[in-house]
Amino acid sequence: MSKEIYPMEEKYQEYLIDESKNLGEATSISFPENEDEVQEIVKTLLRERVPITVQGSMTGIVGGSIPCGGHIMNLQKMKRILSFANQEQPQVTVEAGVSLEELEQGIDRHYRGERYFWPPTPSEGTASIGGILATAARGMNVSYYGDTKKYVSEIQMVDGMGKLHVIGRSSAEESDLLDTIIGSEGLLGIITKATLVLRKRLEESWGITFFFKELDQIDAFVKGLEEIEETLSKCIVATEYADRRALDLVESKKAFMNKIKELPDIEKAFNHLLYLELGGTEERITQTAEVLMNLALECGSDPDKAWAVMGEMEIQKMHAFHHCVAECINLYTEEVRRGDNRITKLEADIALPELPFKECIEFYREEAQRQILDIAIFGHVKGRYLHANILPKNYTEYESGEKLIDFWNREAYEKYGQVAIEHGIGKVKNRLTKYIYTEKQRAQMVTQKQEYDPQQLLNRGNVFSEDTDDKDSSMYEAGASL
Amino acid sequence: MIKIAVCMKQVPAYSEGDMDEKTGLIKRNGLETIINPYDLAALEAALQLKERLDARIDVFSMGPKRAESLIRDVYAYGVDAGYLLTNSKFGGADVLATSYTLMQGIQVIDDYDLVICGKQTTDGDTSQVGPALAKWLALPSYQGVMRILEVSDKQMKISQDLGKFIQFLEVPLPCLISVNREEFLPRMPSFAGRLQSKNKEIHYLALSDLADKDENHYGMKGSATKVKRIFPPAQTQAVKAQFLEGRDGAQAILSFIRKE
Ligand SMILES: Cc1cc2nc3c(=O)[nH]c(=O)nc-3n(C[C@H](O)[C@H](O)[C@H](O)COP(=O)(O)OP(=O)(O)OC[C@H]3O[C@@H](n4cnc5c(N)ncnc54)[C@H](O)[C@@H]3O)c2cc1C
Repeated sequence: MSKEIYPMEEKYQEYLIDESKNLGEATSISFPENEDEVQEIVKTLLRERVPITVQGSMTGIVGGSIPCGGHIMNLQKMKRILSFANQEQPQVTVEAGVSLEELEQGIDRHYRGERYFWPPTPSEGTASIGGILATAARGMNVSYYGDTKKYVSEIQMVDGMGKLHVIGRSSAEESDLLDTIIGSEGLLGIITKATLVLRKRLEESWGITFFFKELDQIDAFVKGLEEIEETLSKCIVATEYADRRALDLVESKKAFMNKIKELPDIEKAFNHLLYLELGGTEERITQTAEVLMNLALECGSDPDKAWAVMGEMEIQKMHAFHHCVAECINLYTEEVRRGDNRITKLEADIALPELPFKECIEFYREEAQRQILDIAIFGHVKGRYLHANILPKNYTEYESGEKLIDFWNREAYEKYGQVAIEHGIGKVKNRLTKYIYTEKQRAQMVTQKQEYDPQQLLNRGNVFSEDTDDKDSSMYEAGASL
Repeated sequence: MIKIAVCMKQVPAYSEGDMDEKTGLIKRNGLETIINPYDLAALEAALQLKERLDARIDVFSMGPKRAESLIRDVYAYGVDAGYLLTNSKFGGADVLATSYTLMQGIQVIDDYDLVICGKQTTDGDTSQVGPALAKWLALPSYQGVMRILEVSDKQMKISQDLGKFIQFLEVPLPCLISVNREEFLPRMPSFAGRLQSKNKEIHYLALSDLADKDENHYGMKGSATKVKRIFPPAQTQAVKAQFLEGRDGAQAILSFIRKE
């Protein structure tokens, strides 16, 4: 029976690791199939004070779903799309284990031809809705559509005492609570269901990929783009960057990646790629494209060499390409980890808003070069959410890489007084929490944790490292008897 | 200069769940359309020739009015002229009627040195339109072309996939070839081309523009075959391939077997 709590065995080994490539440990695991089972399991574990780590699809890259002892509750069997409602905006209610891909298929099946979708689309299609909400994950179109929170009207959550909460938006207070839970990395409760707000796709879309040889050229383009953006009738939906190292990684693995294997190779002379997605009416897109054409010519990017695709299918191919950048970096990490399992993913995903694009790249490059570390940079240009991934060849480089990540965070903290990151804190970055949340925010989180999970059973080690530091080993062993 | 005609078709972008399990019919309503991927290879072959010698590329497509987006799209690749054969009388055509209509359209425009077709379409899958068109045009035809090794305005040297063998041939122009997709992977449409395509004219060819105006030779009426039933193949579940090596690989296989 799915509500059963199984003792950990070798066959559950895969549930000890996520895409951060850190390895955890646990004494038991469960795969509840519905909300009642989630409640029942939490209550059972509460009696023995067994800590619980919640898992969706384990695609997180900060170790949030990796257990540090105790019990693993994996929600992959909660996969029902429960209902559709046609409010002002259409909405769909799903269980937490439904993946983004399954959600999209479900929406397409229900609203055949009406072109509805759920805007927060992190590129990993297997990510679960529960995981996406817990990490407030977002996609490349975040600057256009806004935060994930905007597209959630209600959630159901089982707290650390096994109590079910239904949290909607009927009052400002309730709405604030809902917004707090989204992105709280499973510390306040286990999201079991969510009602998601859908939008209609834009009338037409173009995906344009510009290539640049020099950093100065792309910097001038980004500057030019930002200067004229207001006049571009707001039809730029996404701006994504990838550097040559990231492109080389994709090219080396492209043959094995079905969705992109037929894309042509990118000329070696190009060191920077900038993808712009335009959406809206044909007329507005054409007007914007004409402006971009002139800008590209001024900045030394050949519009004859730039790719320009149209329509949903072709745009999906471009998204797949950008997803593969992230995927190939993870594959690289996995390969070196096989040689030395102490090596894990090393990524900085710091926002550097208002910094000129070139300075952003140099922020990462300069220190990496000083440390003689290989890095690949990609990510959103708007808001400067660039991800710098360190590509260590061995453990010595890995150790220097860890220090480099700390250095970058400290530098950003000194610049901005607070560091905004994109992929959550999880366990990998919990030593950086002091840079990411102010003291006041941390205190508020502690108070909320006390209210929803007074026994501190849920997702220990996420965000707050104290959870793991003060672990009571007897507590962690407790699950073994279940 | 050699004159090249490329035949291309717009097809529905199928995905999982688009076929009605009971009737076997494609639920076309709301489906996005794309250029038949095999025809993009035909266009790529033409574009490669244009890079090697002085050439003009015209594209011919038979389809409903909305297929004009195909003509727009191919202009973004650098096509010189796009012709859309569109008329209510052309609907429901089989291989015979489709190839006949294309022949009529091609002949009314020019005498082409080379006609290039894709291997097949993703919605009809017969691979017959190319050879049938060659027959109507009274041209020699070569299927499974893998490479065009040499080309002049009089002849070409090609390699042809014959299953067990690869055949090298010198063929005189004019002729018709159908190309393999794997060897002519399509390039990306360029941004400059995409913008220029906005100002290019789409040429429409209706029944009245063709030499043979007898509607009995076109569409459903001109078709010799009728589809009795289409049914989907048995579903197999997609499984994500994993590439693991050494101890990790062995461990993963072992835990998989145990789970089973
Ligand atoms: C190749 C690749 C590309 C990616 N691209 C993006 C991207 O574009 N944007 C982006 O934001 N992220 C991206 N990610 C990261 C990841 O996909 C997201 O963080 C995603 O939200 C994780 O979902 P999941 O179901 O895999 O969650 P998991 O990894 O299983 O869990 C993530 C966290 O959420 C918690 N959690 C999961 N389910 C629940 C629940 N039901 N209730 C409470 N807590 C829960 C877990 O405890 C954990 O802390 C990418 C990852 C990969 C591997």
